[in-house]
Amino acid sequence: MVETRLGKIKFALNLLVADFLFKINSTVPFDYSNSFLAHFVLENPKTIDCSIQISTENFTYKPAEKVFSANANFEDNYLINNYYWEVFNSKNHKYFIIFEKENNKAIVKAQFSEKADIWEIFLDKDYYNNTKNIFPYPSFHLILYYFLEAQNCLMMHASGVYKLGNKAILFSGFSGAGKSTISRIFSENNYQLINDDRLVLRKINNSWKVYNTPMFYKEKPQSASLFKLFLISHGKKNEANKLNGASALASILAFCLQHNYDSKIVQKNIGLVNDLLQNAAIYNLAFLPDNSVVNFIEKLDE
Amino acid sequence: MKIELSVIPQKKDNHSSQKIGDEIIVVPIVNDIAQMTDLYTLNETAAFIWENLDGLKSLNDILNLMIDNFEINETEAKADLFSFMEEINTFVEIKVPHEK
Repeated sequence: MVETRLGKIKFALNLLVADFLFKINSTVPFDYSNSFLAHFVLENPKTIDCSIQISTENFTYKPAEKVFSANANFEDNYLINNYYWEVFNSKNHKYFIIFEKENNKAIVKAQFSEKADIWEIFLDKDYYNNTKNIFPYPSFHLILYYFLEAQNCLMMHASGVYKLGNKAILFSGFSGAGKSTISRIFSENNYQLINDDRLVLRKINNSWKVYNTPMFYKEKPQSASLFKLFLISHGKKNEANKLNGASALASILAFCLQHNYDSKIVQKNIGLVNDLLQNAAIYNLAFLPDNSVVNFIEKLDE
Repeated sequence: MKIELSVIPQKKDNHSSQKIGDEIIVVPIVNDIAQMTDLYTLNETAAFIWENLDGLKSLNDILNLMIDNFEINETEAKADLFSFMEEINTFVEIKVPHEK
């Protein structure tokens, strides 16, 4: 793989995320010890899957086709409400730009290869000097999303738990459906939490595996093979019904992160979810927010 | 949405679709994060209508096909057809046949 030189490297880091190796080279220093990345660091990697070069050189961007944008307030979250970003297709590569909402100032330009495995990140000098942060929100999230998408992985709004030696159970649904609640209940009943918000699903050797990411929480890497998925809602009793066909596929797809500006991406995601559903059962689940749901799920289909 | 049975609907290219068994899933092509969770599943009847939106058949042709292929009378078929066309109007363009 050819690496792009953007200047003298003052900081380097290797991360292992979802069993992919990311190599980060930066011309400016970065203290990652207190960041979300800390637990995903890997020493002495053998092969590199994704190369990220970061510098604070001045950047410009030529007019290109804007294919996707995110400029909305979704959550009561300082970061989401103070930054927005746009994705562009230019002749030779794609790139995204993150802007500060207050003054529409571009603080980072990230351009990436067709396979999203080679990245050049240009940081605004003032932003870096004020924050010492080489990954302004949501740059690392977007790098991860586009790389994983190119690698035929899925990223999902879901929580996941597993018991040691066993496979993972995933819970998904809209905000407020109870993803964090139900994963907390399982964690209190001898299950290990993979993550309670974002998961990566990756097919390895004909089986689907579930991973956490260094996106929102400072936690150690976790993974497990996929077993079952539940679309959850609060209920007056624990009850579940199995989903099949297009309903099952749509239910999963709706909770996957998707930048569906390209029909090829959409078609690929449909295919991936369809494949996933050949390997894992999906249910609608209404649940009581107490320990009874653990026993209910463990006995399901017995 | 009031449309004549003589019109010829055709699907636009602003979506991607996939048949799963007797059903179809339709995913809009979007350029904004706010539309990330929008998608549609079509049951057997809706999927049948969808597959016949080929730019060649009129709504009247499709109506007759529905009556022939499903246990449904003309009134029910018409109601289903117009209701469905209302639901999916963003994915379809309407051609008015030229008068002779």
